[in-house]
Amino acid sequence: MKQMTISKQAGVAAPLFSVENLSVSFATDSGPLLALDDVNLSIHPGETLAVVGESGSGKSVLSLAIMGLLPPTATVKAGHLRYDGRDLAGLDKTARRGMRGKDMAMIFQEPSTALNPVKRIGDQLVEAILLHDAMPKAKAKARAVEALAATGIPSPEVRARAFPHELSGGMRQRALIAMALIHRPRLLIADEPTTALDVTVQAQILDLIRDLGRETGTATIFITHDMGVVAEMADRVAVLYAGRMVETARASDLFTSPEHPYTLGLLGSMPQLNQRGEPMLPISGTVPDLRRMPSGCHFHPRCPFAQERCAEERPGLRALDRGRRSACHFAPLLETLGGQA
Amino acid sequence: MTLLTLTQITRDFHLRGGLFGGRRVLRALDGIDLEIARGETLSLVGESGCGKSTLGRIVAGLQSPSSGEILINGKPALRGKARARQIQIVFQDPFGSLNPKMSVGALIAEPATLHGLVSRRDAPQRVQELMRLVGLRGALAERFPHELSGGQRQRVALARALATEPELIVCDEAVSALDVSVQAQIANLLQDIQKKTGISLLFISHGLSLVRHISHRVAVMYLGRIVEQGEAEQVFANPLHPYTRALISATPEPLPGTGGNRLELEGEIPSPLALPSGCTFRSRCPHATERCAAAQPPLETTGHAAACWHVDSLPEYAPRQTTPPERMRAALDLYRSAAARRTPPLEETIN
Ligand SMILES: Nc1ncnc2c1ncn2[C@@H]1O[C@H](COP(=O)(O)OP(=O)(O)OP(=O)(O)O)[C@@H](O)[C@H]1O
Ligand SMILES: Nc1ncnc2c1ncn2[C@@H]1O[C@H](COP(=O)(O)OP(=O)(O)OP(=O)(O)O)[C@@H](O)[C@H]1O
Ligand code: SF4
Ligand code: SF4
Ligand SMILES: [Mg+2]
Ligand SMILES: [Mg+2]
Repeated sequence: MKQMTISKQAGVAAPLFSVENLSVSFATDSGPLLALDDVNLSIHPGETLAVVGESGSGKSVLSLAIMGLLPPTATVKAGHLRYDGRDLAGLDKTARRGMRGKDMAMIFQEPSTALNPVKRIGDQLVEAILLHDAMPKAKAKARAVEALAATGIPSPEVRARAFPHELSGGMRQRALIAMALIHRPRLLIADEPTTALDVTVQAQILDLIRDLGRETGTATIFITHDMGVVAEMADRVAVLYAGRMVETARASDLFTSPEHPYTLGLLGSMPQLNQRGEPMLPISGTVPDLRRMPSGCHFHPRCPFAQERCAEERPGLRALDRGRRSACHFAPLLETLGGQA
Repeated sequence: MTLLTLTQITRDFHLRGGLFGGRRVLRALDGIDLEIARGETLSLVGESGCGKSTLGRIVAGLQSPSSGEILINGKPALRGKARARQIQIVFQDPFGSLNPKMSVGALIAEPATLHGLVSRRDAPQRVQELMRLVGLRGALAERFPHELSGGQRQRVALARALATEPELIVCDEAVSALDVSVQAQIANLLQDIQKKTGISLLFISHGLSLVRHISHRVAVMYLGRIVEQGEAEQVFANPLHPYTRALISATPEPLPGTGGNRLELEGEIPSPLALPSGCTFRSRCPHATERCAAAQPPLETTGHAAACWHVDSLPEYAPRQTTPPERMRAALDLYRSAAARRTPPLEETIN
């Protein structure tokens, strides 16, 4: 059922948001650092796109770029962001700020930094409401409580008067979700919204994001490094490695037939996909220092399939069947490499 | 053979009270009975605040129980330095425990020299041995903690723990902050070290899948009590306690079409200052009856057992689908055999 609605949307409607050839670099003491390198993606109304990759792969930089919140040390070297067909490059800071909250909103990776510790939750919500909608304060207060109630927080009137530290981690995260969704944004970016939470609370929050998205038709970019969460949430998946997109596919396809060795490495690191009693199959080594990027395919020092060609020639993101794309010289892997096993 | 025996361990924290200055007591551990055998990995799982770290610290001797008995090799546990030599602990954030001004080599040498296990002259040799054991290149001995990746720092912490040749290491969320790929590397390493040295592990984690993969036995905790324990395979294949079932059901699986049909747990863990009577899980349990409010269900300490009054009448457990699709499995097999053929094996950390 889920799949049908998606293919309909993908087939007919224009994307709500797209990122085209985006490259972002940072000036650092030891030279420039290319955090995003020619990234392309698009998302349709009502769709959930998961962005997955190890720490340092560029997931948060991507979401900050979309929100127009990159720090001053960052330079957008190339690329376009298109919202509803409109190029955002022409917009100044004020116009971008005006979009935040209403058109696009974000749940940040660090919930503790996203809430003001000395202000009551309800007052923070009221402020967020009044930022875009002028209304009497009493009405805004009522709406704040409604928004908290919608996230399933028990006794929302009481919680509205609480300070952030008086809430459990799960409730704080709900308050942040309430805040992000208060203006029913058309695009929601959730940057690892459940990483710090217990699995039971995570399950509640995932359901909440999914249900609210369904009700409002919000498009969601869901950032995570947990392939299990990807399988639960995503309609489509983009895999990032060291600032580049290495694979993208529909979630059902990616989990049936992963087509990039890095994706296989991420899956092989999941204990569930390993034989019990045998060593797991982690990706060896670590993400490279982005200032000293390996030649050719950036994944080659860690890739078990790497051949000479991989150190010399950079693979492009090639289209396979069913709308899948993989940046590996040897995709489709089973057909190309299967004979060697 | 039994290495560690905990009997009726209880731990209270006295909190300075609210408005009227009264003192309130928080019972973080309530009558814990637990055994760990030599060469065994026992995991503690459960939600935040259920008492895992408190129990880990008590085992490591960093904190005393309010009551109860701790035996090591059948004898009352020693304290202080003697205990530290037998039982070491590794925490989630090695940054906090690694002196930023000391080099990796000095950090690893420190515990062994402190306990008088090596002379200053032999220390470098011992450091190299330990670094090899945890998969660190010897050249890294010159570096400082901030120059290392998270996984490398955790390997240094592990090398320090291994330096005293302890009988047990408590790993308190030791891999939780790392990338899944690095978690898998460290988990493999722990299993490898256990095979080589016969060390026991008390593995504290909220990641159920990893726990299932590496543990021999599991104890599931809820609000300071153990609610289910047994062989890992049995507990995960046929969880008895409604809480264990909910935990397993809430864990996302990296397989297609796994969204939905979860056993939802309503609400959050109650405040440990206002515990429900009887079974403390009853405020969230879909099977609770009057009996559950009346008295606390006991836990058998042998075999696979759960502390639940209705354990015999609960619905039969319906395991979740966990077989990966054919093509995914074939691709993973291909990856695995390619990784095994690489020389030097890609297993080893680079950098
Ligand atoms: N303000 C900054 N200045 C310099 N480098 C930065 C800055 N922000 C991010 N980077 C670098 O950009 C790269 C991508 O970082 P990013 O935060 O997007 O990673 P991530 O995928 O979100 O990782 P995580 O899973 O740890 O959140 C990293 O190498 C990081 O060090
Ligand atoms: N020093 C202390 N003073 C007061 N209360 C404490 C203290 N240490 C722990 N507690 C309380 O004891 C209970 C158990 O805490 P503990 O840290 O052992 O839980 P945990 O299972 O390790 O949780 P987490 O998964 O969040 O690490 C909690 O309610 C906690 O607030
Ligand atoms: S191009 Fe080569 S190194 Fe890169 S992922 Fe494919 S096989 Fe591995
Ligand atoms: S004793 Fe009662 S409340 Fe507790 S787990 Fe069993 S059925 Fe649920
Ligand atoms: Mg991030
Ligand atoms: Mg803890």
